Amino acid sequence: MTRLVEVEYDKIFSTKTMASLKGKSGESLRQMLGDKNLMQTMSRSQALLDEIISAEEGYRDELEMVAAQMVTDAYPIIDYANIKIDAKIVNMSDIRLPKPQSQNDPTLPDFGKDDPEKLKAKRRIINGITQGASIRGAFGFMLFKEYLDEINPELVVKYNEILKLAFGVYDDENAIAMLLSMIAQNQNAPGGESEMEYDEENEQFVIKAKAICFPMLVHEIVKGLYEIVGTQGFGMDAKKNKAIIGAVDKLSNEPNDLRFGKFFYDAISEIYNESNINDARVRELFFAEVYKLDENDFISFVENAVNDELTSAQLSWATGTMKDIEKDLKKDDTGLEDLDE
Amino acid sequence: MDKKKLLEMVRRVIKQELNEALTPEEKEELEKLEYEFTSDVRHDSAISPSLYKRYKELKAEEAKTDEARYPVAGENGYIRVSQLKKGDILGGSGLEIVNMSSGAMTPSGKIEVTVKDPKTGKELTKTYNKSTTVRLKDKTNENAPAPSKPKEKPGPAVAPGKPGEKPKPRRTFEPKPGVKPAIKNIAATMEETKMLDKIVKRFRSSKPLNEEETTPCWEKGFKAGYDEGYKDSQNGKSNRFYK
Repeated sequence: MTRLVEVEYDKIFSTKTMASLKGKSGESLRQMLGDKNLMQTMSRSQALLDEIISAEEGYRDELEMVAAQMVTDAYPIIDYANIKIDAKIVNMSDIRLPKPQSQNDPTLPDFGKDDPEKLKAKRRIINGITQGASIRGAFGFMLFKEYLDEINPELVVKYNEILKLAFGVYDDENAIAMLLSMIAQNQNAPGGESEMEYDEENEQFVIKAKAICFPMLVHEIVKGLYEIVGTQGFGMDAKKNKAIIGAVDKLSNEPNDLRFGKFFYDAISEIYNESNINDARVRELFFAEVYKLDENDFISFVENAVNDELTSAQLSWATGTMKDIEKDLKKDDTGLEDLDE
Repeated sequence: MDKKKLLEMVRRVIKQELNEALTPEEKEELEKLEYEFTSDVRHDSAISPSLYKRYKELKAEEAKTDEARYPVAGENGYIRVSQLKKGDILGGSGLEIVNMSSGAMTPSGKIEVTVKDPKTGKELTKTYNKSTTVRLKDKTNENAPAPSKPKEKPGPAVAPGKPGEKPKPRRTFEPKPGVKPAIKNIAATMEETKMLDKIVKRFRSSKPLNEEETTPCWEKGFKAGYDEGYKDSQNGKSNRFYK
């Protein structure tokens, strides 16, 4: 029986797209790390992290609450979709190291007309977008700078720096090689974890996030949110869904998801930014609609968006979809049914 | 010479040239622009354009309200509710403070303020949480008209025949089978009451978050044994603790 093998970005995208992604990654490396080398980055990160943890001591309760509230304010979809957030700042020893997944996959479901390779590629890109959105979202604390300055005026500067260092290393190929080697030896030390669950009793999604400091907690909550959005890329066949998750959602895929995913996220969110729509809830709901596209349309849409080469049909679909979403949201907000006229 | 040093040198020369070429007014304008640039949340941060778009929305919403979304006492015209005094005008609604209960507050942290609507002349009582901060009208711009009170957001649609029940939003994230196991025990998540307890505990602790004064006045009284007011409040009577 065959086993689903992993899928890499260079197998999904064209050479041109990969070159563009690597170019963007190079620019990002300069923006995030400046002229620091890997060793300087690692040592500065550790020193900063110690300073941040020490400065947050005694404020963890507020910061947990504030992180949840800030993400809710920055992403109003959380309120609209009634998503619950459980956020905690914990010690490093409280973060679980993900267990290496078994490579055995004895019961592959019948994929029928679906191409498992395309399904895996779609899931991999969605995972990349989730990571990318959470990197971009982690800087959301800047929106609430005034509040954080009240606790300690140096915090915001330190948060900004630690995030740039922590995520900037994923644009460095040497760092990725080192991180992959650490993951293989189960030696990586994650700064946080998040998971999303569906509470059937209350019919709501729940984001459970833990992290060792505030900016990482914001990052993990946003990741949880985009994990929920990401579920919209699945079909209704539980066996197929499980098989795809088993093949794609691996820790060893994360470094490159973090490296390239932010550019997938940027490309799609740019379509929302450039629209005349000013309802931030539309952004995540639009991502969900993109995820619902079939595999071929989805991959083509993301690739063209990354290359800034969306076809007129794709642009027209995107604009129409966002307007439909906006209209539905207005109906929900106002209770008026006759907004179509 | 490395690139960084070269760039710094070029920047210095340009600045010097500019200083000589510009009039004092132009210099002032340039300094203002520089300040706006460096104090912008986008400066030296990797904040995404879509979050920045949301930031501007939040700032616009904030400008219309009296209350700060987060406790930011002491800056940008925000002060604690307990620091309000007669005659103060709230920055968002333009309401005038006509009476404060001399800083009195209940142990639950509520504080009552009587305000007057300048348009109608009507007085009303507002109840705030002790930790709430409000924005005062900018005294340097007193001639500017007070922003109108934010329109009440219409409530969500209510399904006919089911009063009070919130209908399902038109756009939802549907749970997909096999993606994650359903959780059975929701108790692990943070409840609102727990969250509130945490905040109350913080404000009762000796290490306050934002308080100018380390011990709230009601706590001083309570610690000193003058807890009658506290007991009264427990019995539903009003209480008074003075600074």
